[in-house]
Amino acid sequence: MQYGAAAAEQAWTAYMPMPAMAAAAETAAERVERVASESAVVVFSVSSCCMCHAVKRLFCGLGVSPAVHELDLDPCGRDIERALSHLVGGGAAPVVPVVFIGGKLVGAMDRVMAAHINGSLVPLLKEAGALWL
Amino acid sequence: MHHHSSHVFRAEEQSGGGTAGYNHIGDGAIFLPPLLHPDLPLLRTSPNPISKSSSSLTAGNNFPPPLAGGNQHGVVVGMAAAPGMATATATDRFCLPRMAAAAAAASQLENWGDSGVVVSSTFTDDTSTDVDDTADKHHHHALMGGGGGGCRGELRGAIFSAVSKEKTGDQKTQRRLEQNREAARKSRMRKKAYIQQLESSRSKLANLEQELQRARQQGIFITTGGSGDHGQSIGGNGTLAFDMEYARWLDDHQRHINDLRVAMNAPIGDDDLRVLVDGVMAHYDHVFRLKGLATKIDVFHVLSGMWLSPAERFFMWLGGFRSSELLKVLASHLEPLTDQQLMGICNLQQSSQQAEDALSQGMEALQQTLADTLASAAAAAGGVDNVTNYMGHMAVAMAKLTTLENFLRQADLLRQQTLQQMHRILTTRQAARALLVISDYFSRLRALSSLWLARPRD
Repeated sequence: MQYGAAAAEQAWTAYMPMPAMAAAAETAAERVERVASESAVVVFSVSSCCMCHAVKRLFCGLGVSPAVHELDLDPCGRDIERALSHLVGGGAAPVVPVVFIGGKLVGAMDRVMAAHINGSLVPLLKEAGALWL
Repeated sequence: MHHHSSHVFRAEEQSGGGTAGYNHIGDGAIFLPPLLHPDLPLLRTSPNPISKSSSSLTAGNNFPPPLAGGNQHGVVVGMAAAPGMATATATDRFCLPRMAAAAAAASQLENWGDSGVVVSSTFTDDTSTDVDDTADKHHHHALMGGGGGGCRGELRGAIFSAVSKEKTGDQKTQRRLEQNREAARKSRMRKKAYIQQLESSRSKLANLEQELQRARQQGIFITTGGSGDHGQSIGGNGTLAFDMEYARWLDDHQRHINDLRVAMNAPIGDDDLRVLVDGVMAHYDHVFRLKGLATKIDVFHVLSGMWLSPAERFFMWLGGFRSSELLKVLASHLEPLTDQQLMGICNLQQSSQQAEDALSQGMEALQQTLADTLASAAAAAGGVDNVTNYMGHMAVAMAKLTTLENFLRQADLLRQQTLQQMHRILTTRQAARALLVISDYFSRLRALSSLWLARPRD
């Protein structure tokens, strides 16, 4: 199903001449998982998204420099977005930003904010080694 | 026109010093207690009226001639008992006390005790309140100059001889006493004026609140100044409905808070108190739900804060109150706190601040990118390209605007979660007190708005 003959897929390959077969080696979901575990804090974002900007500012304010993955600059961006929306259970709202800490999913903006307010975000960051204090 | 209370006839030295001699007669000043002469405006002497020429006798000439002979007594008594006499001539009636006093002075001092003039020391002089009656003074001068016509010389002599009997010490005591009385009277009048002001403000406030209540029920939202219909221009029924819903929520909230306040003062068990506190918290959830719906209908209306009172609007952040500020307001009212609680509250204050900053920066970015989009839409080449270009940019701008709803939603979530976390950290009783403090704070902001709206404008 991942190799689906979706027009989108063709459009992507038109721009990025990567053989569709080769890119199919990894599903979008797996890709997400892989990327998420590469750094302590991973933010899936879209470069023009202001809410993503806000979450980035939040982490910078805490002294954390997250690994940002801009989906609009990623050839498989749309797939990833789809995979993320499955994970997050997104409704009509844009999926991004989606935050992973220590390889584990935290969620979209509201989850991140809630975690920060109820005091669970900072311990999570410390645990993942993103914060030292 | 002379104010009754502001003109005082003093045969008494002015507070500013001046002549020691002239004004003193007998043991004290000649006072015309204002109580006895409600119609008589009371005059003030000038320091040296006698020195003025007698050329302007005319004013005095109109006066019925009580000075001749032994009529002084009658005149004086007339003053005391028959204000009607004083009002005989409108323009000249202010002369009367002067004349009478002068007459009394001129009359031999053996008439003194018999005169109806009360040597009363309750009289005070508002020297500070009528500084600019120069016309008055002229009249005085004229009168004194012409006072008694032919008996001017006698007058002067009598007065000076009386004065020479005075001791300086007595004068000083008298002067001090009078100044005290004068000060007391002034302060009583000031207090009275202030109280009257307060009363009128209070009644204005009550009227205004009544109006507001009535208007709310009729669905009209009163805004400050300008035109009152900015509140529901866009979104029509949607925004109006929200305004009304919010007003109703506010009334319910006040009722909840009052119940909580009563419960706090009564010996009530923690379990019962918890029920009340939970009720208030659930009611807060209700307002956030209302705001969520309103945001979907008209995000700009919620963002504008026109549904808030002006003072609350002043402090508004992203469509509502600022959680970090609220926690600062609470800070001193929550003691005593355990160390853990204290840390929890501090962390909460800090994290809400950080979250607010992040959202604010996101909003700034949104503004910037929207401005950029519109700016590039403006700069266009000609032709058909222009139209598609324009449309394209507008589409982008529209997409960006939908993000605004998201920001507002996040801000409300932040507020809601801050309240909930606060509730978690505190004990039931502390939470109850916190909710009361918060509610009172907003009540004061609303009261300030009402006062501001009702302020007298000149």
